[in-house]
Amino acid sequence: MKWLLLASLVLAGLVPLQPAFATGDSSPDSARQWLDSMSVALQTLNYDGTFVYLHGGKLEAMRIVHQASPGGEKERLIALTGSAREVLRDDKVVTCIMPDNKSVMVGQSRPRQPFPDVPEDLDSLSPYYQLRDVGEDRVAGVMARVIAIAPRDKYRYGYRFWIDTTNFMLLKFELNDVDGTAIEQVMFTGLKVGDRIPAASLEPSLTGEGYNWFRQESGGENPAVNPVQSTWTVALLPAGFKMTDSQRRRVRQGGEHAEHMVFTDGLATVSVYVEKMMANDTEFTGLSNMGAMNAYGTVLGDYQVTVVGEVPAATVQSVARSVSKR
Amino acid sequence: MKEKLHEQLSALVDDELVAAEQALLVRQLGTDPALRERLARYQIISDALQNHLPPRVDAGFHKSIQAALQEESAVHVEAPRFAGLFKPVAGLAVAASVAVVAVLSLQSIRNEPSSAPAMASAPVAQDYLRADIRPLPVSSPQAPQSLDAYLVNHNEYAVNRGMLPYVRLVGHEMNVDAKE
Repeated sequence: MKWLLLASLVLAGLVPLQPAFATGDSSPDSARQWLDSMSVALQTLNYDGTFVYLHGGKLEAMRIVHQASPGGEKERLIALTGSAREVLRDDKVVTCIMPDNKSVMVGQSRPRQPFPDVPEDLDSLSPYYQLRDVGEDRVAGVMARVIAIAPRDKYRYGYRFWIDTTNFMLLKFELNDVDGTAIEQVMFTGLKVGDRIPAASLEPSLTGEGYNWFRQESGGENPAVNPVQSTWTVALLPAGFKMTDSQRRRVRQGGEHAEHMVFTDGLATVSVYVEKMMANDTEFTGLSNMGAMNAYGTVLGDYQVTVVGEVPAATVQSVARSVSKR
Repeated sequence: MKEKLHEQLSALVDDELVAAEQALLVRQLGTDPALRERLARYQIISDALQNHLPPRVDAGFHKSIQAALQEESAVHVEAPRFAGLFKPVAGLAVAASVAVVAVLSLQSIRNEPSSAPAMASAPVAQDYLRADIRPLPVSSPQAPQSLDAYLVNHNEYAVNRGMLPYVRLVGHEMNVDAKE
């Protein structure tokens, strides 16, 4: 059982792996090629895998099933521990089934961008991130290439990917803070790649019958082309963040239309939602999080401001506090 | 007390709990649904770590373990029989304790959300440096349920990582420990 102990300690970050540095190219270009190949693999291969997700002192087991066909992609994510939450996603909708509060949320899925969407012009990212091909390492006996994207400041997170050297599948993923400390980890413990996916594997195990259903409004055909001029403005953003989207839509059940602004530095994305509060709404003020996804709420007059992003808490807090009416 | 119980559970999953303690623990499992839930959880995580999960863990999996345990505890089963019962479910003797070690150690890493990372070495907008970034209060307010809706919506706008952002939604058991 010793291997298991070791695997878990590594997963917990107690035993840092010292990947055998490969003699290969360690330039950003090489790192980028690996990431591109991984993106393609994640989108074009059929796979069915079990993984563990480690965050904030909790370990959860989950299963992911992914099918790629000419008709598009289909995915299903299922919690194996705890409440049997489930997410189904295809090219049109994303459905989240949450038995713990008996609710089903149906959102509109958006076209895929390969991750990470490393811009052609690497120089535009380089002031904020360092891209590196770290070398080779083993994950569960499989040879993997380790690619790191390290943030250069504390306003964004870093990422580390372990990519299967034979089929470019992602075997392990780590999200780190600027010091390199792991905040979140995902590691496959079993993965079958390339097999045909039985239709039943992509069916939800819960019908959602008797649940409270909520469908998010679609935001129009191509909002990016015709963005809504927001009546709100954000004064402080970390360097490199630019607005990529702005629109109005009803996001939450029973809520008013919210103004939604999206900012990205090319890797990290921050959403700002401003929504008029209803009489019976509870104010959300302060910080909350879901894994490494942080959220900060503040109230401006009758409006609830919520900033959400896979960025450090200080970033969402600072952005939220700088929102004001134009 | 709870910690001791959890350690025992973990040892049980590892098949390393001494017989005398096993009998006691089994009795306790018979009366404590939260403990049974936790046992099922340890079991699945251990199986996952060892890649011994069946291709499909159906929703009744926890329930069947619980039912079996209830039945067993009702007849005050002898400890060795318990181990016998457990093995077919587990497939193998497993090391839940390892998972627990992993959990505890990460917790110690993570419990300093505001430990200030080194200051930015990259050029940062001057106005941003003036932003009022203070350590956050330890106790965060309970997020309203509507936050889920924002998170799902945001996931689709985030530079796409496929299902990974949803891993958080699925794996986020906000109240699991609070209930106990």
